[in-house]
Amino acid sequence: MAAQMNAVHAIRMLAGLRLRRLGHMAGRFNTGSRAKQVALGQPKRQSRTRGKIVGWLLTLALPFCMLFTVANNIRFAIIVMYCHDQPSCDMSHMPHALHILGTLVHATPFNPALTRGLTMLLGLLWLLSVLYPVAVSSRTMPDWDLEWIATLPMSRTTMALSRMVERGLISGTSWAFIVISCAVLAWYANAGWLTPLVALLVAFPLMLIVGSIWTLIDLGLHIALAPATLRNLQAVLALLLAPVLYLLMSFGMTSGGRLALRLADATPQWAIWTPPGLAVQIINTSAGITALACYGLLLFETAVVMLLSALVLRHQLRAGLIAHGPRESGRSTPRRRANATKRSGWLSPIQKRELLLLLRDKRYLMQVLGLPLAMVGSQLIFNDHLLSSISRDPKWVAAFAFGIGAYTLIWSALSSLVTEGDTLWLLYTFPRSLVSMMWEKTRIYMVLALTYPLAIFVVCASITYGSAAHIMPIRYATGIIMTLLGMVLFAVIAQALSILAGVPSTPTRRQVSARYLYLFMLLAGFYGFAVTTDNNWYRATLLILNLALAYALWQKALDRVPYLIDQQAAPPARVSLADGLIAAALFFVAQICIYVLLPDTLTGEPIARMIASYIGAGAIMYASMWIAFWSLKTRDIPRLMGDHGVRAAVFGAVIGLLCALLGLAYLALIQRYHLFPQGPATHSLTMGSRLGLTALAVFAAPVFEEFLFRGLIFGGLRRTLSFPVSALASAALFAAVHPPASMVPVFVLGLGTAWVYQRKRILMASMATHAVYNAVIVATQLFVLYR
Amino acid sequence: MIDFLGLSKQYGNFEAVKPLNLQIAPGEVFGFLGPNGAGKTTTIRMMMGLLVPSAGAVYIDGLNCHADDADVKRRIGYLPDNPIFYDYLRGPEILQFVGRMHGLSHTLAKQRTERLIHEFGLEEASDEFAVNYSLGMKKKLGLACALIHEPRVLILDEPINGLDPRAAREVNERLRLAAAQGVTLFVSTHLLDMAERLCSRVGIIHHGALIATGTLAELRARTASNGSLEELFLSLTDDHADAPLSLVTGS
Repeated sequence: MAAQMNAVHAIRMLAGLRLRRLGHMAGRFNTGSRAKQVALGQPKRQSRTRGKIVGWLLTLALPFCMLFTVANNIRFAIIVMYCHDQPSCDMSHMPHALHILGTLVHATPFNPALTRGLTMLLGLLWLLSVLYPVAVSSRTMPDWDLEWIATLPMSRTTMALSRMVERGLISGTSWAFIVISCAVLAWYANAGWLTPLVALLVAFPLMLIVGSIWTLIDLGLHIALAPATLRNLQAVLALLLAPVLYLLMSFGMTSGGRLALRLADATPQWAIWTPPGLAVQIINTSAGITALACYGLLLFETAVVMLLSALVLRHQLRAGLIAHGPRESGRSTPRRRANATKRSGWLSPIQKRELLLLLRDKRYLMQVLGLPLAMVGSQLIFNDHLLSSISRDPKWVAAFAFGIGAYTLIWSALSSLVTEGDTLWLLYTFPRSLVSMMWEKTRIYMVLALTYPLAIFVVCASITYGSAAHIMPIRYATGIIMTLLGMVLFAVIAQALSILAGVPSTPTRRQVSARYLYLFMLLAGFYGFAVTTDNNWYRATLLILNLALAYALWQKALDRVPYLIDQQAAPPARVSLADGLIAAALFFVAQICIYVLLPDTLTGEPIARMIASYIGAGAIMYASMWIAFWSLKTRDIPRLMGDHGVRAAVFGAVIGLLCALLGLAYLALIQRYHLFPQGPATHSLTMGSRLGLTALAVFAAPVFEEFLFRGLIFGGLRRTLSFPVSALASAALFAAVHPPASMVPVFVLGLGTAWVYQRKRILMASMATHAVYNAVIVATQLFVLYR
Repeated sequence: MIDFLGLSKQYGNFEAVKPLNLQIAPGEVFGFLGPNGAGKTTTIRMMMGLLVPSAGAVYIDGLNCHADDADVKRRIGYLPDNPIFYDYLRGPEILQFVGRMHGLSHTLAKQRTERLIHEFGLEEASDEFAVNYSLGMKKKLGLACALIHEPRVLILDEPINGLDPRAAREVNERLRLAAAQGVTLFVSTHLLDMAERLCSRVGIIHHGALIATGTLAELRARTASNGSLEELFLSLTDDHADAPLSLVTGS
């Protein structure tokens, strides 16, 4: 006759279990032998050392960044609200003014208006902590463990209470939003060293309330609503989250968050007696007795809420834990018999299936088409700066349109393998390659992603056409073209990343793994930024670079596809375009870093500094790539020397001479017709620096650039493309990173070196080509033309 | 029809499937028996291209399953042990989708869909989304998907597992019909009475290695016992026996 479990014991056990599970999930990368699991057909994630470290860094760095952002936003909010009724605040020089204003806030206790405002803030954060898990939960049944917890010997009240406590205390969003905000508040209330303690003490009851309401909503809704209705509700809640988030973030914007301030003003006085208000009061007051009294009241209110929730839950669970059958998607409406399935000639079966899924699954539809609108629309409402800049300058329209399109892609293309989920086996039974089927899906995602940008452009065009036509149509057109091309490129990038992210390890995961999501957002962010540039050369360069990136990722994805489910069996990678692009990025970033970090005393003139940073960056790039290749056992690494090396070098030199002659002709042309009026600023260079530059151009540049552009980039392209295309592409990339004046002859050089490398297969040959060309052209420019 | 030439799969130091050599003639109904975790599903996944063999190869109708996988898929139909179907799609829609993906024209796919739905008795449920089907109906739908393009080889992973007696009988009858029409069946199962009745030849796999193949009569003769398949199986796969019997025939 076992006694019933008491609440404390239950809570301790269940919370402990959840913590242990979280610990296992976090330590997943470092698990030891998993032969048993592997035998059951779940292959072990191949943990490469480099990938593991990067993975850990990302997993730790990103939450940290997010926490930092939250704290920062709260800080902004406090200061902005403080300054709202103090006319002495000078808000014009943000963010420098922040520090000064911060000390002001430190000095005085919160006045009633500020208290009300902070109550609203804390209340909003609390609302977010409750809504966020409800909105993102993808289940339509009660939580997976509730079924067996319900078989344990405890009363329903105990079960409800323990679940509420467990959920309240072990929830990432509660900690991020509530604890951090209490800590910031306490800091500004001069709690000093006691800040963490105060924050935890005050946040504890608030988190318990979050847990109660969340459990109430979660369990209660599961019982009360049909699964289909629940999914729709989840979709609507997910959409609502965006405006609430933006409301909170609007404090940090230059316009100062008018809407949020109005809301703060409208908070009634009685709100300071609600739990968030009590929390603010406790933090604010310095008198011990008042603080204790308020804390007592807070605990009392928490207890009331928890008990009430437990009672309501007990009432709802009286008929059992599960009220509906295992019907995940609701009953379908009977088909209209007369409507025979139309044949649509130009949509393949897979594309038709994607569209059908989109139309029927309301939550998927909301995610793909609704969420981008909500996210970006909220930006418009809460950030009036954005609205004004959009109406002024068409390039911001393009960036805005790209942003919406990219959001659409996140939920459709980037998650394509995840939505496929367990039904991937069906694709393996078709007599078609997986890649061709993925490519079909990419095409329809492209079309989907283009809908919003096109709609925006049409609307804007019709508006501006009516009003004054002083907005240059050319600039408008380039923005449109960049955006539309960007959509196409990024659909490919998103699909490639989804393949690289692989099949999700747990079948119920509905989101692609976090690091690929962030990578995509980073890349899309860069491009969106680039769309706003005015320089045509930059535009062309960026387009070429992004095209290269899309192809590189697609190449990597193609390598991955045969081993999609069986990652372990994948052979070591071969050198691909992606390696070349990474090396190029490393090269340029290292150059900039070294240039900036070199102490002034070490080098005299800027030229010497430039030379030193170039050589240093080249050495770093070479070393890093070699180490990476060696540790990953990459195959087909470009060779420096081979048999008949000398003959090959001579051959290369001859070709180099040819290219140099063409380059000289080009130089003569631009001299003659003054095509580039701003010649290189060489007049002020001393003889020493001229010699140094020449030495750099002849001895250092060929070594590094040939390894990078011919060895890695051309070699990587050549693996999957024919010679003409790879030569043209690598030459285009090569030319793109040189200054505009020299792009044409450098392009020709790129073609020449590619041909030499193709014929001779060793780097020494193309290095010779490059060295000869550089020797002739640079010497001519430095010593003959511009004395 | 199906030739395994040293097919093996290793995960690190763990050999999930030891080098497998086996030939299956056209029209045969071959039962691939083994305890849980013996390597049956891994072998079948290698045949379907879901997993990549560590060594060796498997050929179906002369084509390599890994290298020429698209051509192989035209000739085979596959039923996994737990068929999961797309959400928000009805059974007939899924079946028609599969038919179209196999290259059937729109009308032909529609015709065959209707015929198969009628054959398997799934008409009443044709308005329901496939995720809401019971396990028996899902397996029948999966079998229909495997049969719609009229393949010459059927690869079935635990087709009867988890079915109620009526559904099991219906599936069995359908398989027998297919076998009578000359389709080669490769059935992996641990349900021995079904194997006894349906299969012409069986192979027993244990810890990744094929320890016995042959017809039931041959196996009985070799182990000098008159027992049922169940007794044979248990004695052959007994981990605690002193000397495990190994009766791999060279066929």
